[in-house]
Amino acid sequence: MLALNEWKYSFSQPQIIISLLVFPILALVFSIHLDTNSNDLGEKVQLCQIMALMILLPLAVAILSVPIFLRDVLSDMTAIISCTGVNQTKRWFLRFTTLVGLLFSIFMCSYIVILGSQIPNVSLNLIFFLTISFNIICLIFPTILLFSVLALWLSRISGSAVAVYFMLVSIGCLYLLMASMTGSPLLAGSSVYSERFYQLMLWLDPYGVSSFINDLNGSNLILSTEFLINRLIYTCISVLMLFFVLYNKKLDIKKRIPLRFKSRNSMSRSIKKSPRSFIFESPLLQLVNFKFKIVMSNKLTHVICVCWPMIIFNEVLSGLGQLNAFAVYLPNSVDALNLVAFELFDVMGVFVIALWTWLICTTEKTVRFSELVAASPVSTRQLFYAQCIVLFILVLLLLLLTFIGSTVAEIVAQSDWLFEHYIIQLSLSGYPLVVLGILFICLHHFLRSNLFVGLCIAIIILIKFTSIMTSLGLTHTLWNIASSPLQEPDNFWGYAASGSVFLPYMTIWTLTCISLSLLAINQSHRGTGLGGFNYKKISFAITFSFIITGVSFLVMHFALINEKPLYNSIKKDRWKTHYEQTFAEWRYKKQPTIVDIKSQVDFYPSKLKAHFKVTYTIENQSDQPIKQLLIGRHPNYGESEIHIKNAHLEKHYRELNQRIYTFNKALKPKEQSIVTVQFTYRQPTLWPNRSRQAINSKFAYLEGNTLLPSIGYQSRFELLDNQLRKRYGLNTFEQAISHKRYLAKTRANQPNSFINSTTVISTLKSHNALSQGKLIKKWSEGARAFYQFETKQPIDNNLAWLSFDFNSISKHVEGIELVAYTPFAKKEVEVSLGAMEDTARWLSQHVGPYTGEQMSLVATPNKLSQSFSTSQILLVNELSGFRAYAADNATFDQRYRITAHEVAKQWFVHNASELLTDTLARYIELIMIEKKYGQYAANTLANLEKARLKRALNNKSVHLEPLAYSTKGPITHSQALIVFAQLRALIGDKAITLSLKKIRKTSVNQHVTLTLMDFLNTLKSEAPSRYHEKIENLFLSTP
Amino acid sequence: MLALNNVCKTYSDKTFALKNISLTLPNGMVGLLGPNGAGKSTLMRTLACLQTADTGELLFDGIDLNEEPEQLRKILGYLPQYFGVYPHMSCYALLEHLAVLKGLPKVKRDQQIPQLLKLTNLQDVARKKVATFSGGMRQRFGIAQALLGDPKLIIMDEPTSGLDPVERERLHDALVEISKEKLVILSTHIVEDIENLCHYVAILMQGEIVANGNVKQLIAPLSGCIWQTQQLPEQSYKSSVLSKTYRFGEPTYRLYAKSSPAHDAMLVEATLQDRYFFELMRKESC
Repeated sequence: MLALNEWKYSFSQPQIIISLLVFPILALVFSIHLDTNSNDLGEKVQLCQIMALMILLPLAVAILSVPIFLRDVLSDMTAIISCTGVNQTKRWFLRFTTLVGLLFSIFMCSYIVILGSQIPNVSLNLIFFLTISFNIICLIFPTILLFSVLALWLSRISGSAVAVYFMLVSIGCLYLLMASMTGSPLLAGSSVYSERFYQLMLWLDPYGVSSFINDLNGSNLILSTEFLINRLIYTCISVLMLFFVLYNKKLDIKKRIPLRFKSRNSMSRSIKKSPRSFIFESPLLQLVNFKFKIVMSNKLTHVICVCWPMIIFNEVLSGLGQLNAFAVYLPNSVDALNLVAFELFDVMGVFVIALWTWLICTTEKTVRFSELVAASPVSTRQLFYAQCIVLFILVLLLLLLTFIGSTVAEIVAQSDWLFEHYIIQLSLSGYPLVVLGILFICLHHFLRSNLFVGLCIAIIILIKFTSIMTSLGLTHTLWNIASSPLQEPDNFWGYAASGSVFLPYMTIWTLTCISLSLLAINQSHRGTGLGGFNYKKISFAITFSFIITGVSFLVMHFALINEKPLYNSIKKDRWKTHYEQTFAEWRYKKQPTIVDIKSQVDFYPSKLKAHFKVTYTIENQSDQPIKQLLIGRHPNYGESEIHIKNAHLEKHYRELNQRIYTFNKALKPKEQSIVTVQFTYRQPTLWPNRSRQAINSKFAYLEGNTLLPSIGYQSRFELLDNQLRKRYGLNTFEQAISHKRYLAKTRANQPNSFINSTTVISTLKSHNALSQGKLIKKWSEGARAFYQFETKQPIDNNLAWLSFDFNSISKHVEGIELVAYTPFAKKEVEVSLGAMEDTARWLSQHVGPYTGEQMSLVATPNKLSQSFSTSQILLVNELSGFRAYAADNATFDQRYRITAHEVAKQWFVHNASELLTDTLARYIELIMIEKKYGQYAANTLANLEKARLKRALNNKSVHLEPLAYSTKGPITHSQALIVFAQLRALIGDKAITLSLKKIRKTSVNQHVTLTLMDFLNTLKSEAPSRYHEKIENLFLSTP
Repeated sequence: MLALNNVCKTYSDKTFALKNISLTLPNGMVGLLGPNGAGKSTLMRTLACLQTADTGELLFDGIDLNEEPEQLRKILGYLPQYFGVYPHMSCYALLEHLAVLKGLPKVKRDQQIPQLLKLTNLQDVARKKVATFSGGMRQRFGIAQALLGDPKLIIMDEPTSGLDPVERERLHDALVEISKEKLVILSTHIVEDIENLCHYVAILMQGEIVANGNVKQLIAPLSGCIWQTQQLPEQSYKSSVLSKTYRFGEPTYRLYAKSSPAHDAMLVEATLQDRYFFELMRKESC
């Protein structure tokens, strides 16, 4: 009867009913867009279960435990309920079971909904249901039990809804952070932080998820020892904790009756003295003084003030100066603040601000003092301003705590402390928090119910920090409410990668803030929660401010589209589909090949633009005449002026940024024509720079592959994901063949596009310019410098144009001019230049001569990309390539390894598939490390890669592929080095280098792109036959 | 003078809290009588500008309460029925805080706060935390804060609840003294308090003003019609029972009748309470 009574109460509470409806919907949304990389749909359903558990359980417990456990306190019913016949233990136990029941119901509903959405794809059989039931009993139920006990304990010891919300949500967030450090396949960007931590989590993960995922894709059965013991431990802990909470009289909530009850019922209690407090003369200042004291006297604030600098200190110290296991760098405040001022400060800061604005705005109502203040002659404007000022002071406090934590960590780490950077970075981090805080304050003024305010804040946080809007197909950069997509600065070019975004975004949000503030002042309930929204009171000024804000949002939206028309993945996917559907037949049409490019590139670094005038010489290299030509480029780069000699425009697909030209007279085999292209490239200012290309006053790098219009059908524009292809009605690729392999295969059968290039670059006099080929002429005209480059031999059709304001150091080896362009001193460049020299010499002697005359090494900004290469130019990250030096325990210098790797690519980049180039470069890397630092260093490198691969594979959504077909990026790189280390041990270097020499000779002579399979076949021909099977195993099977 | 014209207020759940309230209240002590849920607190809050009326006009000394709530707040003293206090603050500090919010300069604060502490008999506990006060003491604090700043309009919702008889008497003295040049609106269930203190009364039922006017004028129509008896008359149609009270456990009935309803019935002087019950009876019979 009593249990029934509890359930009746629960179903009368809107908060609980809404939760029962909303959480299954949220679980469904998350499950639909969960990218698990798993082909097993049964496994996907299980991962969806875990996802729902990890993300939704803390939220559900927080939301439900307040009306269930704290209802007496919040409704002033403590005294009445305490006097009923039901004893305290029984009462709490009943409430506890109700919470467990409700949570269980929510998760069961969620799973039914998830299962329902997957029914067309999942074969429903007994084993599947047994597996799901097992998960519910062993995974879900103990976790629900644990969280419910935790909520009961928190509710009883705190008696405060805010404390319960804050603690449970914090526990949830902390767990997500820990899960991401174990390489959870459910959390984007997660990787294994350390093997020891991963092993620890297998046993101690409070959700049991780590061991569950470990078992899920492994060969183990679900019932692994770690998993069972973990579940048993936490079930026991929950039961023991439940007994403690139920039978511990000291936790009795009666001892925590609200103050109004205390005082009315405590006539005999002694009246306590209070110290004199300082009073301001101005009502505004007095309100600020008072509200600030309220926040500062809160226990959660005390916890924040103590923990915040400690967290910052820990984060900075643990990551500062350490690039990886063997490389360290001399850090400074830029590096220190980058570790905390973005993700950590952004996310945790918002939660703290939400809590503080809550305290600022609701404490008066909570203690029932709000009507006295509201009836005073203090204007609403003053009330609002006071709250905003307190918020501002509190944000300053948070920044000060960050400053202290980071500075102490910097002192300990002996980092270069830059006060100016602290001021800039903390201002840039603090301002969005102030704006968001004011938005929260506005909500407190409009909305009469604290519940609705809490709900709105939760929705804002959900939209801001999760991909929920993307899940709903509404991706937009403005969903990052009250913030900008500002990226971490680096020591190379400061905030140049994204600094331009801050002002426009924050202007929009400031305008929003002003409009909402005006409305808040106009419609405020002055903290009482009384009255309603009165539309008649809204003045013209407020309406006008909202119109201005609305127009600003529209302008911003269209400006964003203008800079980047395909601004989200849905638009990109649709564009690709449209492209493929429109030009499908062009895939098989013969098209002319570009054989010569004459380009004139005028850089205007301070104006963030470059003007291009490019002339292609195209040749029909097929055996049939060509009547039509497809030419165009990615729509994000806008329209360009195109003229083709003896051809006219047949059709212009503006949306696809493609054109079809018809030759006046069909282009005969071996016949040539001229294409002239003109356009201006402008650096986006509203989007952070996430591509490799950039123009800035210090550094500019632009590449032809993406910028120049391409001729013919472009496979790179195809939609790769088979599920997406299915969704958009395209034929799916063969399951067994990934798109990369498909591309590699098709490319391998075609002659590669080799070009001759003549480039004239004009730029500022203070800049140096660089492109492929030999610098044959340099002159000045007015304030501009001109550089002319010419290639002596055909190169791969991937031109690059650079302009930068740093100088060069050069060396000559084997007839090659090696030039390093960096902003660093000679000493810091020596290792890299040495690596260039050693590697170029070894490759020239053992593999074949270099095909160019000059090889340039250029330092790139840290955030632009990791190291990469294009013909004759090596672009190496400034931190890992120059600043990071060998740690004391290092057996080799990472700078040497990175440069050797990039130099090695130059010998294959024109002639081999990406996979082959990367793989062979890793072999050369191993050789060069051994030659420079000895056998032990090479072994260390192999062991390092083994450990890295093992860590990556702990993320069970990653499946290892045979090296010959691998498409896994960094995993492939590790795999390649391990395979070559084993290969060397098996057959020695002679056969391998001979094979390298042979395939390179073939590819250079025949101008074809080779794959790893070609190398494997050559290797087998060079190695004794007794090793063939083992060699094949290394390349064609997974270790 | 406070004038209300066709004031209406409906809550979001469609409850008519105030229906076409039209009233003109003179300076002095004014009582607001009504059963629970009659709309007294809604009217008080509307007068205190804590919430706005849906329609209607509210004017106090030329100030339009809908348009210039901030002007009214400058001359308002308000004691809500329920209120809390901040923890860790002394009575004096909290009064000082409110005085600053009311715009009182230091000289006036130093002058008024001790006076009000004396008036409310809180001078001995002025430096003690208000959160640890008893209910009566806290109510006295509430009265003191309402009187801060020498307000012209004082709205008090149940000011005497929780006060012991001595304190209640002390408050009565203070209110009578204060109300000479001001408008003091008093809402209470204790009809006796209103009868003792107020010269003008408005009776509110189901959101409507059913009667208002000078206390004597309100009582006058019942004069010669109120009978008191120990037993209910057999012929009930001749009279209506206004109230039933007990004295030493014995019931006493007050009846409304044009002529003697029973042989033992005694004609008594009509009171405000009789009028209140009379209006309540009329409303119920509608």
